[in-house]
Amino acid sequence: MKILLVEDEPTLGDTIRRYLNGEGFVCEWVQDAIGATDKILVYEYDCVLIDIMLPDGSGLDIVRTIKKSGIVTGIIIISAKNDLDDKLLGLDLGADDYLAKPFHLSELNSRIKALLRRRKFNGENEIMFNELTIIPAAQEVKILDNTIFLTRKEYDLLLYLLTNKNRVLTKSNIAEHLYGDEIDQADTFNFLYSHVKNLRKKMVDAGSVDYIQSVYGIGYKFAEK
Amino acid sequence: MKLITKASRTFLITCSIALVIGTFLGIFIFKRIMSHEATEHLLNQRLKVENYVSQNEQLPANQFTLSDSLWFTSGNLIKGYNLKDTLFYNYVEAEPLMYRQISFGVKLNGEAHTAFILHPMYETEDLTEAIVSTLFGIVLLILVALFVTNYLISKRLWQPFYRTLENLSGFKVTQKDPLVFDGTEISEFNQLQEQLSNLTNKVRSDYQSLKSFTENASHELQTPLSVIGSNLEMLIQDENMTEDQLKKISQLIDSLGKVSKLNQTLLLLTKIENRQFVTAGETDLSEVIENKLALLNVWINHKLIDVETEIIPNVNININPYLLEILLNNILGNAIKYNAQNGKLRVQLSDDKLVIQNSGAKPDYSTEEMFGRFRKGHSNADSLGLGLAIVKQICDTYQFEVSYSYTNDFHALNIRFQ
Repeated sequence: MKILLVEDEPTLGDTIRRYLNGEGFVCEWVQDAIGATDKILVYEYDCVLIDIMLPDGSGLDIVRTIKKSGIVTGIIIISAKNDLDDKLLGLDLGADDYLAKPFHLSELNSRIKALLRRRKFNGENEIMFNELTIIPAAQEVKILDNTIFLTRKEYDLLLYLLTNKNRVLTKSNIAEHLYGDEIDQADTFNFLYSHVKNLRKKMVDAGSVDYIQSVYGIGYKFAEK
Repeated sequence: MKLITKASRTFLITCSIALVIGTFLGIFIFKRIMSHEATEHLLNQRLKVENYVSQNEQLPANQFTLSDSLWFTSGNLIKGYNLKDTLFYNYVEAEPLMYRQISFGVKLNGEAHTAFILHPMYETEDLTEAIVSTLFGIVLLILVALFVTNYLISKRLWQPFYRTLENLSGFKVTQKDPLVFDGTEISEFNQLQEQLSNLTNKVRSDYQSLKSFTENASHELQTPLSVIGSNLEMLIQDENMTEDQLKKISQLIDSLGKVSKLNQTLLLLTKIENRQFVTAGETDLSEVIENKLALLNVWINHKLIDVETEIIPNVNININPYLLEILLNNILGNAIKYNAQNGKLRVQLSDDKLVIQNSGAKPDYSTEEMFGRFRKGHSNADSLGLGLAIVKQICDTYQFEVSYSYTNDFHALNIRFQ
């Protein structure tokens, strides 16, 4: 999977690139709009991550170029402007998703994977991990061929943990992914705790290994022991 | 009071006073002149009579019987003359009328006579009346004509001013185009329009630069926050970290989250204050509240809160949907967050107001301060204390009346739409 990252901030660009490489993506990184346009017109990418404010122009122009040239690729806008107008404009122009800075890298990872699932497999692929199978199109979870019934939030939680497997995710990171701005952060931790407890119980009862590890009370990690 | 009304009123009052004073003064002066004339006339007559007597050695022939103005009586000789106003019966007019009478002594052949000459004064009255009323009529006519012309001219003269005013009242700092005035032939108004044009342009450009400043400030802050956040996230993946180190980093991540949330919230407040959210049309509040409650259901169940709703369907209000979302998140979120375990939540929506009540402990600061920025109870160190400030700001924007009260262990937030 090839990803093009357009980000002018050197430290952030470098961090995102290293993170995505770690996730098994091939990530190329350019720091300006001209470089980005050059690459897009020559190479094929599965997904393009575009920052809106670039030193030599707006990232939205790159989105326009992609759409005008008929290039098929997933587009995620990452922007410091958490502005509703910009968001709507970006999505109107044909971007698939919009992520406001500052964001968690795991959130970015989860958005990229969800986007690629939608684009590449029409959401019909299955995510497998040992005895665990997730079918995103049906929002169904199977353990050893037995379907287990999860609430919406439990399903979202499992998918997020699995998408970012082998990584420590802080509680606030997971809470933000699950609840967004819906609920005040201070209250979400107890809440998250009971979700994790229920999810664990349902999985173990169905015969799964307990993959959800608690990390010193700061967060959780989905991994084999 | 309109400018033209004020000017006309002043004109009318001044003119009325001048007219009344002028009339009385006119009558007074005219009477004085006439009286003076009458006396002078009588003194002349006396001279004539005396001359006649001394030349002809006899009294003049025109006696009382012929003319009612001169007659003689015999008796003591009086020195000098006497003047007095007196009433005489007039046969023509058939009523007693005012005359001025002069009496003086005349000596003829050693005999003393007293001569009386009359001068009618009632004519003066009639004359005064005729002249003053004619004058009064003319002056009144002139005044009315002046008033009407003045009114019409003023109305036309001030027309550009009213147009300018109307144009100005439609001005918004957020508008993209400059305010254009139509120009007039009067230099004062032209100057006014020019100054207003400069002023509004300045306000608009200041507003724009302030807006881009806040946006840029946000951008400049968000990127370093992103860098810190993503690097900290990478750091906790390190297997070699001790528990102690991980906990410290986790605290850093949480604090960072708060800083970034604070930055976003302050930006949001500024944006609402700057009226940067356009209201597209009416939103069905009933439906939005029902949906929101359904979304929050997990949280409500978690705290075992008993929810009572009285929501009238199809209550439509004019509000930006995104702001409505923020508003409801804040007030419903608060009602759940500060609710007691096994508490109660009441949501009442009618055509003109929304009342949200929840059970909970008494707030530890006064209800007046409730809507201030960075106001929070001692028990909520994690809260930013900006939630109700945002609620207030949104309500102010749409001229909703928002109030808070605490009675019988219940917090109540009341929003009245207008």
